Amino acid sequence: MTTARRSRFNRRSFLRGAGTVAVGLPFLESLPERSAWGGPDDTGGPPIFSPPIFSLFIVAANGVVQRDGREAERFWPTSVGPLTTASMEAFAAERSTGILAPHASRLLMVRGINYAINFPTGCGHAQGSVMCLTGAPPGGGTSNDATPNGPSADVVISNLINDGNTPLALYAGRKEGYMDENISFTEANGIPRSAQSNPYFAYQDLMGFIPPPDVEEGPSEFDLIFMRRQSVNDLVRGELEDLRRNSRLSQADRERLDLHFQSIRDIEVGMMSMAASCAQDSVNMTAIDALQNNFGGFGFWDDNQESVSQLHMELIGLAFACNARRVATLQLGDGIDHTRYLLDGQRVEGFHQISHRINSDGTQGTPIEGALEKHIAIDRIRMQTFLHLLDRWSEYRVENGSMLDNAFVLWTNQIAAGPSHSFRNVPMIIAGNAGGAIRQGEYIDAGGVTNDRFLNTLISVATRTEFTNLADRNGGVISDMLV
Amino acid sequence: MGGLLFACNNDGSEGPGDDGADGVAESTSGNDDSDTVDDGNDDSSVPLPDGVAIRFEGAPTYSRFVRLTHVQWEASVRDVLRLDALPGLANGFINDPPAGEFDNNERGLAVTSELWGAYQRATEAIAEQVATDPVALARLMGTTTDTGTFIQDLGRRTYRRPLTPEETQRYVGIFESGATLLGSGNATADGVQLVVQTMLQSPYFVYRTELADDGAPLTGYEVASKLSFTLLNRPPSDALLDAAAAGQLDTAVGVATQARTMLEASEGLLAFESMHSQLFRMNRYENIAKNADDFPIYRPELNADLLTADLMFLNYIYSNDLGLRELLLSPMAFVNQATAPMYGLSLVGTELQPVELDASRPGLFTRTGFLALNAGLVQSDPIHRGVDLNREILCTEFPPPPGVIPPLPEFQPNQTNRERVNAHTGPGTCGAGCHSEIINPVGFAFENFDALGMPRVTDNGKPVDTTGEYRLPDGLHAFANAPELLALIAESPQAHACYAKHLVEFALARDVTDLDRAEIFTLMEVSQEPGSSVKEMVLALVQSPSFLLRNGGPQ
Repeated sequence: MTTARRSRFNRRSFLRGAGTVAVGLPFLESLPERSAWGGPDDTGGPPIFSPPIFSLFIVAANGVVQRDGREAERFWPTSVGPLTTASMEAFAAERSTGILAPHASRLLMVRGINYAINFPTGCGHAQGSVMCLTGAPPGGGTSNDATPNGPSADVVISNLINDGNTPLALYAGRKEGYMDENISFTEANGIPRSAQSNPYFAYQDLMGFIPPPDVEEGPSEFDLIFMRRQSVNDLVRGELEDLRRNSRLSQADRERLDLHFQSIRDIEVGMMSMAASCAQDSVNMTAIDALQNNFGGFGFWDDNQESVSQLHMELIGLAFACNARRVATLQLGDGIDHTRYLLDGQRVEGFHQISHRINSDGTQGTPIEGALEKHIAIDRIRMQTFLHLLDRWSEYRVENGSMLDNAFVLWTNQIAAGPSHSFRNVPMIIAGNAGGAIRQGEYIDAGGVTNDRFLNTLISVATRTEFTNLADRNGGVISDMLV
Repeated sequence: MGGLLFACNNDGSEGPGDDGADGVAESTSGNDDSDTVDDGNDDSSVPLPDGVAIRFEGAPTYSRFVRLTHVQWEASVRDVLRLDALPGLANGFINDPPAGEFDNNERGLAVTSELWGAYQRATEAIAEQVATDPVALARLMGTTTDTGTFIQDLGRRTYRRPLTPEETQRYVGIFESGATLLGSGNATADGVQLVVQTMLQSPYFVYRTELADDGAPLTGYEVASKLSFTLLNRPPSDALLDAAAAGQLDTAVGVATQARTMLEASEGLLAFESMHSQLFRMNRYENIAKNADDFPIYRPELNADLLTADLMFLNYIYSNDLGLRELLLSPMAFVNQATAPMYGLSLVGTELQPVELDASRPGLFTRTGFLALNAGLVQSDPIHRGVDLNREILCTEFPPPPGVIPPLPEFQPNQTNRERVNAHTGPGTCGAGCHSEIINPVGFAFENFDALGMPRVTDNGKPVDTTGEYRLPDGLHAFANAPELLALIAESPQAHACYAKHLVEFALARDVTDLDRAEIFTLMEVSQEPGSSVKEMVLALVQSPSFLLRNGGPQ
């Protein structure tokens, strides 16, 4: 194959720092500037909450090492109460959450949150995944076919703020087909929303394209790409409208075409949003470029797990900072995350088996030597990755402060602990004060309440409403989480 | 989902309404008449045949817009653009969420924003690739120099029907804007690139459409698409589109003629393999693991051989015009030097060779793949062997187990695996209702095969016991071992009805309901006929109203 021409891009549009790119794109005068901080949408669209609160839900797999049966506590802070950098550093060697010490003042950790059922009645990972953000007990079968009994919190928030977008769904890890995306749902018994696993593609979806590394003077390539896509999208929309006018269509068919329509708009509007002045030293473009060589393939994924997680976190921060999205989910690993980490130079067993403490994905197997210490090591690696997000997001400047001042990030898990697959005392770490609404610098005990209340609280904060009824449980909020 | 119903109460009984005569529990909905469901629709009141107790409770949407699967998308791009090979672009597409049994189920195939972005990227890439490659461009354009003719030819392949004059004109406009929007200096290449990029994003390419009135015949072009994607997982060929244009797909006989040819194509085998590898979840074979001390002949690299061997077995069934009976009972196996010891054989060479095994190893479920998959590192796993066979071949439904599932206890001295499992889940335990009568008897029949699927006559020093009783809808049957059990199953109407159900789900790309009873039971009868084959079942299906008429579901 020969390439007849190379893409041309306006050098003035980009600054390339050490491993990062400041994203500043030419403003297209024909398009409305999409301000995150303004009032009603200039195009007369639905009202936009102002200033916006950004919400990110991160869900990991396989639980953490906390007091569970005969195992000691190695995750949570040593005592409920205020969190300071000094106090967290004091227990950092023994408790994985201590790694987050530099951001103690931005954290709220909440113990005593349980899922709707205490222990699995089937596959704990599948059931935990469908309960994690829905707050409802699981339905469906006992294998990987557990189903949600309501929409997930990210979808609820997105519907309430009605910003014209669907939640951004990203995924870091191998997809093995047994239980891949499984945390975000639009409805009860619904199929899980798909999530993008490749940061290269995720960036391209947000930006519309990948800027080439060697830019030249000349007409904006972005403009040409945009116009070509407009041409295509106009024809596609026209055909979708023609199909939709067919009087024979069922409601399900109309919804299917509407989703297609919305999907085109999501990508188009995302590209338009990025066209506005959105200057952020935000994303590691060197790493993104490197993934270009893995186009469609994910070799050596074990070693990419954390770096891809970090890239996704940066991309979400970019999407929020540029107001391309308000809500996002990030799933870390598939439902039975088999990532094989490199610990002290040794490739260890798959994480799922380590979490079981035996050489098995089931209940029978030979013990894994040092499984407890290996799981602790993995917990610490994941906290390091979360620290990366806190470091970057605290640097992202928006009009009224840092991104963390205008957002919350929840780090949680589909199960509480590995060996038992318990759903009691599930890890809940919140970073960011969401516009001053969420208490900071504290570790509190919610007292064994169900997570629908916890999620009600976050939904209320994100939408600036009093939301009390996730999963139709009318559980109210947890006032101790709020300022 | 439908199935043989067993209400598994903790006391081990079979649930409400069971009169003990045939052992089949009534529906847990309390319906007094388990044989019929009267909702006013004639098809749903089709009575259950003798020996069949099966429920069809899917939730199809009967969509008029069935999106191409990623595999179909790849084949379609290759065929539309006349590429030498699959483009490989769908490898970067986001996975579709699971819906139903098979990956072509309409419910799971939506154009989400993530997928739309991927389509956009992929079509731009392939359009540029073709437009900037003189050989590919010449192959695509053929001998025509007329823009309108080129667009009509490409459009017919892409839309899988002739373009309307209005559509042709729109694309002419797009072609002519290529020079401005791409500006390579080659206006023809630019026009082609933009047209290709646009057509491949059209909903008429992305979806297989059914636009006829409910109950009315699909058009010849719609039948061509449905037939080709179902049987070959690729778009209709030029010849098939020509047949549609000539009215040859307007009759069931004409459809059957085309289908016979397609079933003999190599892609027909691939579609068959796709259905069965999904049904039997063969993607799990890569997770097989064994304890090296207990199984020194096993290496993880053998998992690929086990998978290939079973795919070759499926190939054998399909290519030799065989069906469910042979799937369950054929002595054919594919073995190489590494896997031969698992069958008590000795062979030379790494290539898998056809071997006829003795009567102790009939069909797919005594092949090492199934047996080793459903086993632990050291011991066989009769529970999962029983569950898999029940679900996949008999469409048995299982309610959730009660409470927490404790692991199997440690072995007691002189205790066989069967005795250990029975003590934990058998009569007198909380799992008795499901395990002792449904799951365990089936699993125990295979206890003469160890965790690697190798034959054994003793377990922990005691003789292996493979005897049991299993209650099919027509009564309780005793058996001595796996071959006898499989022979019973192979002759049971239940198994043939279940297999027909799976085939209908796959071929119609949707869940099935009671409205599909007539079709399913017709195919069941085809399957039961001596000498029948899955191809005969498919031919019957593609000539049926279920396939040829627009089905909008209950009105």
